[in-house]
Amino acid sequence: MIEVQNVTRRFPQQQRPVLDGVDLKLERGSFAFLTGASGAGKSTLLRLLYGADQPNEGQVTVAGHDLRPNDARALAMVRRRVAVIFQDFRLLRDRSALENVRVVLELRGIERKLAQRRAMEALDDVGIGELAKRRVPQLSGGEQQRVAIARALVGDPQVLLCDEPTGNLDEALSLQVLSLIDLASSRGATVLVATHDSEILRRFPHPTYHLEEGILERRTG
Amino acid sequence: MIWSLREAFLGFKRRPWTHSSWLLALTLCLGCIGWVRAHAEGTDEILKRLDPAGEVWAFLSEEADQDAMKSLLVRLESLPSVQSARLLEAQEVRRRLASELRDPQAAQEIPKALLPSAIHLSPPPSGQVAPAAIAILRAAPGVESVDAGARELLRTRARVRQIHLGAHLLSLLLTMTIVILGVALGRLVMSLRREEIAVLRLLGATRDRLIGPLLLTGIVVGLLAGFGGYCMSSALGAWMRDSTDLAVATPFGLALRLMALGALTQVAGTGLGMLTEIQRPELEQ
Repeated sequence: MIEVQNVTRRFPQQQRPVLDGVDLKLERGSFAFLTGASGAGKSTLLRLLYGADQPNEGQVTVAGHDLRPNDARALAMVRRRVAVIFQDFRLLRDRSALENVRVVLELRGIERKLAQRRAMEALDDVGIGELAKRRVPQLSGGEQQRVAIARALVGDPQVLLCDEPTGNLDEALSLQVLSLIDLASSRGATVLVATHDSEILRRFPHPTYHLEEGILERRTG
Repeated sequence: MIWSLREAFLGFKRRPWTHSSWLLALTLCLGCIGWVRAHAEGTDEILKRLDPAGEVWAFLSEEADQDAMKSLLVRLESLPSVQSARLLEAQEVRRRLASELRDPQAAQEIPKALLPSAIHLSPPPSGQVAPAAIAILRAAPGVESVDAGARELLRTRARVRQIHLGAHLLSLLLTMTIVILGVALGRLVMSLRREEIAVLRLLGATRDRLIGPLLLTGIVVGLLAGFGGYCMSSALGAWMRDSTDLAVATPFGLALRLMALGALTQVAGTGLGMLTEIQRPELEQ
């Protein structure tokens, strides 16, 4: 479901590559954590996995598609199967929480009423159903993060990529969110979560991949 | 299409300040063009009202003898400086009166029985009716008044032509400026929506799903601004006509032209803006 083969990514003004010959293979329904210090390349690897960046060398295959930059439509179709929870949420600030979640389904051509109902259910699942009509700036950081999670889960993604998904949440809520992500995995989604949170790593005993100096190595699981 | 249309209209609700500023700026731009065009069209009307140069008109009294008039026309037409001399039809008399009264409607409403008879002398090409012919006409019994103000007419015509050309040239230059401004405005609005476009792309929006609502928004803004600009220039034109008696014309065709101009500039602007935005990486490194 996620296959990264010998991927190298270097940026023009850096001598050492951020990712140096990285290999990673995650099967359908598997759950893994990605750890590493700040600037180790976790976000870069996630960017490669949803096609927002291209490797200098190597190949990235996600949900059965080779992510190449030359086919915008194919990339859009892959992104409908790959959901991402961004560190900075990437919500549409001029829309309500409900609209932010609903847009994922509308972009797929799902009828408005059905999209509305499913979006509402997704918001209820993350515990902020009553805030559905509020615009993003009216929500706290934690609430915005839950909207981002609902948006990622609403489309039943085949692959779920999370970049520090619990960064703005307290411990209880972090565990609740991870449980939801875990549930997505149990429904068949392949999940890769970049995190620093040692409590989460302890509570959810899934394989962990550690990035250091551009090298990815499996640590546990 | 329905989704795109709905999203286009929701854009106004979601970003009221951006959209209203966009609409206002474009309305003012198109209103300026409308205003200058109204003057240009006004000079068109004045030119239509002015008689051709070198022609002579004469109104006849009620007592004028028809046979004597026919004989006068034959005599005048035999002169070398007169190409044609003829009695005008009722409709032609009405047109003539309309230009004198500056009121076509009033001229149309004159009952046929009250319409005076009139004679028209036209000179040969690039010539004028000779003073001798005008003197004969003035001396003829039954001729009440003669209008042969060729020299004054030529001066007026030259002045109106100058203003007419100036107004048309100014409106052309202004149109070109507004096209550039309008396109830039469309692009600017797209750059303000950069983040939204990037997020939608990350969520799997295909190009048609992205372009549809944004392009429709541009078309709606362009059409509304064109109509707003027409209303603005019409209101200014009406005020000017009433207070200064200047000729300012705002035919409905002007509204259609302004709306088309607005829509086209916004399609170009949003289209170019979109092209730039979708070439851009979704996330900065």
